Amino acid sequence: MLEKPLLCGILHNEIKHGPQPTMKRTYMPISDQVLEAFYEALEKRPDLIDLAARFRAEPARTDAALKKIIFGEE
Amino acid sequence: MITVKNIHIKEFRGVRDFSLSLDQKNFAVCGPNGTGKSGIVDALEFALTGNISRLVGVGTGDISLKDHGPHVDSRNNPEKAEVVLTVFIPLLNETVTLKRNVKSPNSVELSPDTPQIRDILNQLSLHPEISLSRREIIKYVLAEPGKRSKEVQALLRLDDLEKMRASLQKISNAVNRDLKTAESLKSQAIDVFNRAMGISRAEEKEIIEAANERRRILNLPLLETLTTETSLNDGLATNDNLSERASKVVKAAALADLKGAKEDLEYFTSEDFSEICKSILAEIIFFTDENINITSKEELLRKSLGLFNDACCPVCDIEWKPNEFRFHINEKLKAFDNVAQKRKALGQRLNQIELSLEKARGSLHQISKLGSSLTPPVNVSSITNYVQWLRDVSKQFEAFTPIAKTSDILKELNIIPGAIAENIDALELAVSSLPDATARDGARDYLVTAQIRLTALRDCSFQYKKSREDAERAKIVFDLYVTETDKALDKIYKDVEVSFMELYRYLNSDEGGFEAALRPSNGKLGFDVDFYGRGFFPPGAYHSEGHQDSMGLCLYLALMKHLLGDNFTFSVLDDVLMSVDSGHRRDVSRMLKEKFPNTQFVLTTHDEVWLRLMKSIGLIEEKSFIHFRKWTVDVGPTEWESRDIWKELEDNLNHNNVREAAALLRNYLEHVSAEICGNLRAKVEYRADQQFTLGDLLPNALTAFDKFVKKGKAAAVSWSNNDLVKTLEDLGERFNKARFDTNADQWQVNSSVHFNEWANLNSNDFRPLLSAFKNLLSFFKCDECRASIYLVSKGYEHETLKCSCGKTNIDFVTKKKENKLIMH
Repeated sequence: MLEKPLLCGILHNEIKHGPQPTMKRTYMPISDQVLEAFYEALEKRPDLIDLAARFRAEPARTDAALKKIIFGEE
Repeated sequence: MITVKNIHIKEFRGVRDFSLSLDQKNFAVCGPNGTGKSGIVDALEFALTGNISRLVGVGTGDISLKDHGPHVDSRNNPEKAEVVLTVFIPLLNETVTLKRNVKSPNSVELSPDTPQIRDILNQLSLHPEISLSRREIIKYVLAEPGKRSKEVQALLRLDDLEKMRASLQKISNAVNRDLKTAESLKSQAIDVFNRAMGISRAEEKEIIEAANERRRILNLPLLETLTTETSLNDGLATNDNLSERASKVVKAAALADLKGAKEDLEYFTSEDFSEICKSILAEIIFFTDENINITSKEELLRKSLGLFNDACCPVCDIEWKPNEFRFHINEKLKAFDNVAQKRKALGQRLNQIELSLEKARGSLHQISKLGSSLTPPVNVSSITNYVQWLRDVSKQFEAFTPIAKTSDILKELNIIPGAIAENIDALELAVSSLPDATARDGARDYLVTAQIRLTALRDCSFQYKKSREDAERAKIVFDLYVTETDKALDKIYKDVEVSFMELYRYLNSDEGGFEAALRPSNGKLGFDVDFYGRGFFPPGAYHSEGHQDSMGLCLYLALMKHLLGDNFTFSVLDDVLMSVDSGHRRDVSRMLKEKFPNTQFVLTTHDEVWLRLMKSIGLIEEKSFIHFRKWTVDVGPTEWESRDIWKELEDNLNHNNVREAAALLRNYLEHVSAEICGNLRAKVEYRADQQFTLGDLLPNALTAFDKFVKKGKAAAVSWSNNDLVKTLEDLGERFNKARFDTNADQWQVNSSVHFNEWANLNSNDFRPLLSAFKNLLSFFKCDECRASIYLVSKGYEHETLKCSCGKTNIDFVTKKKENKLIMH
């Protein structure tokens, strides 16, 4: 079974690069577990609910990528 | 994730061509220093991750994988340096062959090659820490808290979380700076707009009234409300008699801007401003270099209170009792209170000045634009330079130090350079000499200019609003991230702590109540351990080096268990228990076997006793080890394998190299005698340094074998098994003849003589001796399976002498019980 963040990542990749071969995740790294807790906390806030989806869809964590996630496309 | 079936190494590090079958079982690699053990560890890591940790990182200097990964003789042909690994992936129930060469370390050839297999191997390549060396153990146990935190976070792949925390903090700080700028720009835009409108406050009522006064002159419909869409000059473009475009320089607005700029500058020369500057200067005098240092120290002390982990100083790691540390720091802080209060008050006064500077900067920038719009143009370079200087002043106020520079600026601020006044006067003269506009033109210019500035004000207001929202959003995201990750990390460290304690207690039953504390705090990870109920101390404080080693191993195993869970199926422990005594090594072997039954360990050691211990506990099976005897640059590692030994000895004799043959035979006999003593549980005179000589070992091994053959014969007699009695009698006779031929029993009496004598023989004299030993040693191996024969005991009672395949099986049980005596 696929974990949610990976599923979002695959969907994101598929949107960007077309269909990807089916992958099976063997384990969820601890950093992903911690981030998942953060995303869930974001989801509990109506004003930030969109952020969780954006974090999950964009795997890059550069300053520029994070800015784009937090403030949108501008 | 995987278990290793076999490995084939070619032209890699110190290895020329070497294969090893691990069969998915725990495996030991034993041999003295420099015999090639690390080559195996490096090859495993390279095949799985494409990297060799020992060749990269701190202290490796100019060493690189590409240049120094291949065997020294293949250093210019990295494509020849390759490792082929056959692994089993339990999750996919697949056996996979990985092939990787040093020329393209990031590219792995797989067979079979499927996305699922690649995914698993990609995950594995993220974990070079499947291999643990003693050097790495130390970094977890003895590292200072800040460094340990980084090491543990790197192991758990948590360093990315820390990087993300830093990025979010950076983003939050950046948008706060943007907010401050946006606020300043908005304030300047309001001033500029007010001047163009000739109003004191940018409020709806005043704006509508002022605009309508001009719209009446132009017969334009009056405005009733001011919305974000309202245009003050609405209708100008459709009015045939009016052009929407204002004059290049709108005289009235320009004069208002000039007046505003002059007023802002005059404020700098005012008594009020001068007093503020003087009062700040008076306060700044209080701050000497020493005071400033104290201020910095005060910040440091306050931070140290926050970072204190109830165990040791966050700055120097010296241990403190919690109350004593806080009392000590608070006493110091009291002395700094006065300084701190003054610095805070001073900061507020400087902010007051900063607002005036921003205002003047805005108005001067506005009038500087007039210079090129006038005909002929007016030189405004002094104004432009002054605006830049005011920007630098703001930066200096923010930095505050060096104090002398801040003081100098405060002394200069109320002196306006004469050239500025000259530029302004020139602008004023040029603007004043412009012809006065008619009432209608004036009204048109007024509305067009006001609208331009209203648009700018709206843009600034919009930007300010957006910056404020961004700043709030960034802060909420950062705060939430910190809270949630801290919470999650606390839980992770708690889990690791519990697992670590369980493993350590298993190894040290005398420390049954052992407790440990992993304390994360602001980027640090404190690690304190209980010492026999006397309190918590750093691991290096009271525990022995051996205990520290086992702590490191337990912490590593606890972390890996947490990191990989059920996927912790493979690990290389590279000489990790150097300082652990034999009693605790026994416990370590049991722990690895019992607590990690699904993990395949590859253990390297230079200690043969440790190797035997692993075998006797059952951590490794009888054949699951390799024993290196030497390494040469031409051949690479060579193991103690009888087929190679006899061939090598024969080669030496063919080259008449008896001295080398004699030394090799002696070393091999020492090695194999130790093995036989272990297998037969022979009685050997104990040596504290474990340095047993051939004279200590071989005669006792021979005596033990002879004794067991006789014991087997006695059992056969009790069962009246005449055939077996005859077989064992024959075996005993053959064995004793072989024993006599080697003259081995004499060595215990005088161990120093015989080997020197060997070296003095010629090849033809030495050959019979060689043949005699080869014959003698053949009695200790099964001629069917070639495995060593070994003693099976129940407690202190010996039951059988047997081999792995069961063909050799000498039973000692006499007639009272069921028995079976078979001998080939």
